[in-house]
Amino acid sequence: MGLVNSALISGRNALLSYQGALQIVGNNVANAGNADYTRQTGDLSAVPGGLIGPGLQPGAGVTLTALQRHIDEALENRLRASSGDLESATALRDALSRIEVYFDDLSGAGISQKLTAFYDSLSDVQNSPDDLATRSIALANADALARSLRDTRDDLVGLSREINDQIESVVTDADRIASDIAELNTQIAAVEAGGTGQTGALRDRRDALLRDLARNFDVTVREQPDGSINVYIGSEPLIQHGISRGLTTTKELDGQFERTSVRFADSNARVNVAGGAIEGLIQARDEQALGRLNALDDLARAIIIDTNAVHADGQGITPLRSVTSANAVDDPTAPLNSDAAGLLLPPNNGSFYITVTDDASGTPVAYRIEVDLDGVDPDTSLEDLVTSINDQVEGVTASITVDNHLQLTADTGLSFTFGHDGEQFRQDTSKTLAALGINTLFEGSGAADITVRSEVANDPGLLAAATVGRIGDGINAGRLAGLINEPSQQLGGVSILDFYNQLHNGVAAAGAAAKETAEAAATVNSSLQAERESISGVSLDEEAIDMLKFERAFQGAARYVSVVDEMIGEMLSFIR
Amino acid sequence: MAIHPISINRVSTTLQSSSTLASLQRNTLSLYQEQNRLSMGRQFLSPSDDPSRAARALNLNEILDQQSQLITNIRHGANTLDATDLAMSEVSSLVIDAHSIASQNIGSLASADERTAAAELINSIREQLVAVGNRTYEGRYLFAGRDTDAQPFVAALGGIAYVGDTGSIFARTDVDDLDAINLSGNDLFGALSSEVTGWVDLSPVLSDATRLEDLTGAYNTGISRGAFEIVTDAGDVVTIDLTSADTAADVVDTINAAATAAGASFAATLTETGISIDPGGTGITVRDISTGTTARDLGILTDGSTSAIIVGGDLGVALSRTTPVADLAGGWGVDLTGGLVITNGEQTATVDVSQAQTVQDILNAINNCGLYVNARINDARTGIDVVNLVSGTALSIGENGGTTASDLGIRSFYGGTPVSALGSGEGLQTVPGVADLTITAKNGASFDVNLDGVGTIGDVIEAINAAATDAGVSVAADLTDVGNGIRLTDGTGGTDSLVVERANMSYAIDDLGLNKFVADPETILVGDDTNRAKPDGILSALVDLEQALRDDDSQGITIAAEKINEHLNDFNRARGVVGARASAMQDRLTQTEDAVYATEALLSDVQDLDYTESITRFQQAQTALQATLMTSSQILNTSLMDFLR
Repeated sequence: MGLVNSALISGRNALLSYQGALQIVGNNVANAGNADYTRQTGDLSAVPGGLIGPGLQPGAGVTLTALQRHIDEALENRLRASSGDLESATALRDALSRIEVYFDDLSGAGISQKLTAFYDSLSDVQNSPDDLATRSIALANADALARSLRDTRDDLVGLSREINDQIESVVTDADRIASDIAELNTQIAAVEAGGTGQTGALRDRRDALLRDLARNFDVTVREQPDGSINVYIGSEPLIQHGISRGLTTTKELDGQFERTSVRFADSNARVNVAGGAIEGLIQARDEQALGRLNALDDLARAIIIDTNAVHADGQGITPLRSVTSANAVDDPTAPLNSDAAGLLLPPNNGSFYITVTDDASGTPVAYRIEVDLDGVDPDTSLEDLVTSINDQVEGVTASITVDNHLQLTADTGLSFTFGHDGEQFRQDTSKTLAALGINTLFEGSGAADITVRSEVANDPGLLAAATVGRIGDGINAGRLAGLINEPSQQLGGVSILDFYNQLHNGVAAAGAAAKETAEAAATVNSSLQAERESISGVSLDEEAIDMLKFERAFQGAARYVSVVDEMIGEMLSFIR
Repeated sequence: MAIHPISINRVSTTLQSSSTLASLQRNTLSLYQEQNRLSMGRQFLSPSDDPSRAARALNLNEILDQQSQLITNIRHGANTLDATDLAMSEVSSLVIDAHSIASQNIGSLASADERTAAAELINSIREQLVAVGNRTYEGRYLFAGRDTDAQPFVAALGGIAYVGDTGSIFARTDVDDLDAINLSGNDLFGALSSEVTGWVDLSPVLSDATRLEDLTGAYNTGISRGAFEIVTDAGDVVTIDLTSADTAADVVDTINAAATAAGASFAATLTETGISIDPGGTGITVRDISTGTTARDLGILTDGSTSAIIVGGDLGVALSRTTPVADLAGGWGVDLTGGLVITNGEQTATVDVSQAQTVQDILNAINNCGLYVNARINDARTGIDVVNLVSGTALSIGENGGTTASDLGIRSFYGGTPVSALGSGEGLQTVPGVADLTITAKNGASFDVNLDGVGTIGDVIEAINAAATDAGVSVAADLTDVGNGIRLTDGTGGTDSLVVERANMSYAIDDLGLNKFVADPETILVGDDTNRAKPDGILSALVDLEQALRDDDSQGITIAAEKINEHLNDFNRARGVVGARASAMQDRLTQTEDAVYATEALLSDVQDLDYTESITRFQQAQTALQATLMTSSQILNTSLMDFLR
């Protein structure tokens, strides 16, 4: 009989198999705290044995035929996609929660308060137009408004730069991960070549790296027959077998802003990112940081243009004796509204008044200066304007400075004002004064450079509170104060305050949406994580039971071997 | 909410620990947020927590800011009006005092000495009134109009001149509401109640450079700068957009440019009064677009299609300070070579306007003559008025050898002056049916002039000349060409005096300023200007009263007392208006304060934390945290491994 041979072989097989199975359990228990670990179980199969009788073949014990990794590849794919979504939403949410701070008006430190404070203080100037202290307060408020617009813009630019840095560091990281994955591909293919099993540890490591990569990019994974994987971003391959194309970043200057873009290292082709942290970061930078910044620029521009247009038509209490325009033209011979002249807000066809007052008699003499910009030649250029002023206005000399600013200088003992004819309020229908920056309050073209003109800041008497040049006349200050609620042409018919509110509310709504999206993504992600844990995670209780089971099985096999041994002993005792 | 909203068949050790961790984080986060809410007292920590509430809170905060500014403005207005009202009540009691002094001195009971003493009292009252008129509030002259830094009432030319401004000061009492909060010295004392009212329409001719805002429009409603359409009979619709037009020339250019662009044949030209459009052979229709009024304002609307020339309405060019002299009076211009002779009180000045280019040069020259007169464009913007700023003097404007005053329409005593305006407004008093004047020429010949039924100074002159002709006496009457008054020129060659005498006790000789004579060798007698502009206000009534008291003039005292009574009534009406404005301001203040409370309540509703609710939530979160801690410590502690031996 095959007692000795086959019986002992059965026992040996069982002992070895259960020892192996226990080792697997041991490995599982050892990795119970490793989040990347995929639970493994051994497949035990009965070993066919020789015949012990006609047609009787009980088998030769048990053997470990396979090591199974408990992993659901489809779930892994979903998990990767979801963690990309989560990272994208989180990046956007984080950026927005920072932007929100810049527009935090609920704590009383935002632009809204600066806006209302400035325009309200102009009402105070209307009440006390002769009071320099009140004027100074209004100008301080104007400065605070300008400063807060500039600061907020700087903050947004700073945020966009930080996001650029973040993109850079994320891409550097992703590039390392990609080359690690390529390396693992090679190793896995080599180890698994010819064998039937999988290299659990290497694959776990690779899966973990893939999850890391998927956080940053929208990757698609295709497993190859040799066990290696190909990774694609969108439809472009990133990793093929043992080769990673590499990822890098370049800085591009788009207009006035630097933007970091992601590129493949080998071809320098742009990577079209549609998911992952990078997508969130790009969106946060382009749509949120720089997008809000554009709105802020629009707001600042409207404040500058609207306020200046009204201010230019008014008079301060300090007589003007020599003024230089804040804005220069590019070409003094070009029509003032042409691109060649290059004024921020081109003037239009119309006219304005210069009123010259003699200090001694105090009597005003007004002159109307026509600005012909009806598109029919000859249209007024800066040089024409100078000629026209010099020809008509007695006591005021106009000239063009070397850097193409308009300069007006009164003769000794004379001063001049704009916006009235000595009796009546006369608007500058051409908006030339505002366009050139003469008798204006703000300087600049947007949130980046909005400032209160230093001449006015230094002399509150220049704040144009009056419409007909009388000290107790605060009507122009009142008109300025009303601007905050008036529909602005620059803002498509929305008032300055409403535009700001829209900006603020837009940030709040986007912030809320980003929070919700991030929360939803987190929920999906954590569900998938849980699902993965439930499939691939190690349960110590389960392992304890397996341990008991295999221990008992091992004990049984050992006992069996000792029984067989006893049997053999009995047999051998016959020989003596 | 469950941590993992899926059904799970198998729980691994890491799942146990990760979900415990997630629960703990979630619970501590909600505790943290709730704690923050409680410490800040706000329902939301950042705007994105609740964008719609945050938007409302922001909006309400801005409204609050603006409302609190409105309250400041209204308080400022109310205080100013209260100060004005207080000053007016002082004026009122002073004027009542003056009136009772005048009443005591009416009749013959008071002696001349008593009246002189009363005159001193009136003088002191007048000084007190001026002091009230120069009252300041917060360092600003209350009754100086917008010239708040200069004393408005000053002694000048023997009277009191008002050198303040007549403009209004406004306070923004609502987002789009401006209320006047001041009363000028003119309103207070009627300080500027008299002027030489311009009697010539100086409306300038329409020129290329005339600004549209200086046109009154075909229907005196201005010109709205919109778009209108010209439809040709061929069916082409040409839109004329005048939104950026500034001058009359721009209107014509825009129409013609549009016609050229559309290939239409019509063409516009500028006439002396408006726009005319030549349809150019075919018929055209001019119409406004929906509710626009631009074509109507230009007076060029057509009633259906027409191929005749469309003559636009008279656009009425308003006079402005910058109107060129050459454009004045419909382009006829005015003769400025002579200049003006202005007399105010006892002082006379000659004003040279021959160099004037524009209207402002004329106005400035008159205003700078040093006689406290204010020449200005009238409210209708058709002519010039010259206001006498001094209470207590009379203003006369005459010629200086030319026709300047007449051309400008500011000669105070001229052919068209109605005789009803002479004197102090009593008019020319003639004796019916008999002669009023007897004029004796230098040759001793005399004639009587009956002025019954004359209407104007021109009629008076005609009546004198007719009487002289009838009597065959060579005396000619006209208006003097230097200064002002009726001039009689004796051509008889006699050597006696030229004398005008009262006939039949008629007052006409005084009313015409002709109670005069000239001795040989003079042949020309010039009368006085009896249509002088003399402010008819409280201050001038007091000046008159004082003078009458000093002169012991019972009739003068009676007249002055009546005037004072009249002015007191007017003044009390004005005071009532100020009182009403002050009380309206107070009402507004109350309303705005109520609005602030309402806004604050709303804001609190939107923004403030409901503590009960929040504390409940806090406790819930705390309970949840405790439960998580307890259950997880139980679960994580038990393992089958414990039972393995």
